[in-house]
Amino acid sequence: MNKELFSNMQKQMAPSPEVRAALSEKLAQPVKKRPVPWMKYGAVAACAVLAVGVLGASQYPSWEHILQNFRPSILETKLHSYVTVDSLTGYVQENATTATGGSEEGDQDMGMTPVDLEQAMLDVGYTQEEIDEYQAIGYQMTWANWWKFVHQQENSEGADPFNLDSLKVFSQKELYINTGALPAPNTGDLPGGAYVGDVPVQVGAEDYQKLMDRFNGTYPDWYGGAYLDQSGRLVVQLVEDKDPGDKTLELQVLDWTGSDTVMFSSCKHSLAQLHELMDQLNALPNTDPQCKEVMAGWGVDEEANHIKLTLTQVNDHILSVLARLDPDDDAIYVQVGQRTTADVGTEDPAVHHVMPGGVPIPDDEDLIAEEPWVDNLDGAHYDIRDLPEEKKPAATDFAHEEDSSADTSAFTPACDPNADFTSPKE
Amino acid sequence: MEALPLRAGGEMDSVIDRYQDMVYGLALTRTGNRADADDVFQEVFLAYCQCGKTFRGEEHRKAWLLRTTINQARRVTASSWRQKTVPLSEQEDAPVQFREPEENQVWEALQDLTEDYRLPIYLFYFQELSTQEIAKVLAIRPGAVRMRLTRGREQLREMLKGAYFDE
Repeated sequence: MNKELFSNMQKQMAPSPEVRAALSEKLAQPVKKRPVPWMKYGAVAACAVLAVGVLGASQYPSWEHILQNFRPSILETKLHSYVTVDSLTGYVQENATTATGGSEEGDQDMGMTPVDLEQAMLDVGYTQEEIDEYQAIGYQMTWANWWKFVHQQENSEGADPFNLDSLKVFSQKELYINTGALPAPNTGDLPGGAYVGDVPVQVGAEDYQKLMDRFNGTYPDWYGGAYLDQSGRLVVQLVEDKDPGDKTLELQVLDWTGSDTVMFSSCKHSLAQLHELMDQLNALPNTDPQCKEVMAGWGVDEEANHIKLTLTQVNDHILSVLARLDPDDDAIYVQVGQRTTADVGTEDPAVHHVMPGGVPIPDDEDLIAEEPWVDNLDGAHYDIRDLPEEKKPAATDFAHEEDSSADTSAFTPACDPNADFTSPKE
Repeated sequence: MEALPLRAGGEMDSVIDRYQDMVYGLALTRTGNRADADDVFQEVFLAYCQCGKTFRGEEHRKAWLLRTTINQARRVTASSWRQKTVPLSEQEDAPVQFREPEENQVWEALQDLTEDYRLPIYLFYFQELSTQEIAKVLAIRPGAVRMRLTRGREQLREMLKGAYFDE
C-alpha cells in the first residue's frame, strides 16, 4: 500500500509539458560561447592608463627610464672569476701541458734547457767550471726546482749559499722525492755517494707512453688527463660523468699499460674538452685585440684538470669572453699579475681569492703575531712602556700571572720595566 | 530497457524521458516548490548535454544525474538572489499539491523534515535506491544513511500518527 502511495506521488512529481518544451528548446539552441568579460578588461585597461598618466605627470621617472635602469641588471654580463697574484714568478707557457712530461706540449713545461741552466747559474754566481761540472752529472733541472733552490739558498745563513755541493745535495734530494731513487753507492760524485746520471727510468713514464700510444692522439671522452705523482707513478684521471663505476675503464687502462701500479683519480673535464677550449683560447688573440693585449700565457694543467691562464691585467671584456668560454667557471683558472724578476723561490705565489667580479679579499692582519716595533730601540733593550698600546703583544697579558723567575719566555723580562731584555742566545 | 548511448549529449529525448521523473522529484523534494524544481530540472539536463562525459554504465549515469540535481538544487536555494527576492505571484511559491489528501499529508510531513533526513527518505522510498547507492549520491557512509533513515522514519511516524514508512 505504501509502495503504491509513493508511486502515485512520484508520478505527480513530474515536470510540466511547458517545462519539458522549454528544455527541449534550450537544448536545440547552439551552445553559446562564454561571454568575454569586456567590462573587466576595460576596467583593467582604464586602471593601467590612469597609472601611466599619474607616473608621467609626476616627478617620478617615466617607464622608459625605469626600464632603462632595470635593463643593465637584467642583462648584466656574467664575468669569469680570477685570482690576483702579487709576484708572478712561476709561469705558464703558451700551449703548455703540465705534469706528465709525455705529451708534445709537456716537454716544454717546466723544462730547463742547458742554456737556461747555464745562464741561471751564472746569474747567481756560479763559475763556468762549476756549471760544466754540474751539467756533466745529467740532472734535468726544472725551472720550478731551480727557483726553489735559489729561494732556499737565499734564506740560508751560510756565507756562500750558491756553492756546487749545495746544488748537488738539492738535486739529489729532489730526485729522491720525485722518483724514489735511492742513492747508488759509490757510483758517482754526488755527496752521499749517489750519481744522478744513473737515475732509473720513472715508473710511470712508460705507462704513460703506452697509454698515449693507445690513444694515438685522439682522447676518449672519459679520459681527463694523466700525471705522475710524487713517487713517479702514473695517475690517470677519469671523467666522473663517463665512468660507469664498474671498474671497466680502470681495467682497460691497466690492460693497455700492462702495469699494476697505475692509479686513478676522478675529474670533471675530459682532456678533449680542455684541448677544444685551448683551441678557442689560441684563436682568441688573433680575433680579439683587446684579449691579445692582456693574455700572457695559457696551458692545460692535467693534474688540476683545468687550463691555467695568466693575464697581465684584468678587464671586464676578457672576463666576459672567458665567462662565455667557461660558463661553469671551473675549466679555466685565471690568474692576474705582472711578471716580476725572479729573485725569489717558486713557492706558491700570494693568492688573493677573488669573488666573481674581481674584488679581492684583503688578507687578515694578525696584530697579535706582529713584533712590537719602536724606532728608538736598539734591538737589544726595550721598555714595555715604549710599546704602542694597540699593538701590545698578547703574551704580555699572561706574563704577569707567570712566575717571574722563569726565564724561558722572551717577554718575561719586559714585565719588569727595570729588567734588561736578555736574548735566549745569551 | 532500451540501451542508451553512454556518451552524454546523444539521444537527449530518450535520456530525459527515462530520468525526468527522478530528477524532477528529487529537485522538488529538495527545493520544496515547482518553480525552483523547474529551474533545477532544466539546468541538470543542460549540464548533462554539455558535459561531454562518457559514462561507465547506466548506474553511473543515474548517480551522476542525482548528484548534479542535488548540487543544482543547493545552488538555487542558497543563492543570495533567491533569498532577497519575493515571488511576484502566489502561484510561484505555492505548495505542491497532490491529488489525494493522504498524499498531501505525507508530502507536508516530508517537507517538515530537515534536509539531512528528507533526501535519504525520498531516495530510499520513492526512488527505491539501496543504502549503498544513497551513500554514494550523498557522499556519506552507508551507516550514516541507515541512521538518518531510522531517525527520519521516527519523526515521520510521530508527525503522521501512522506507519507509512515501514522498516
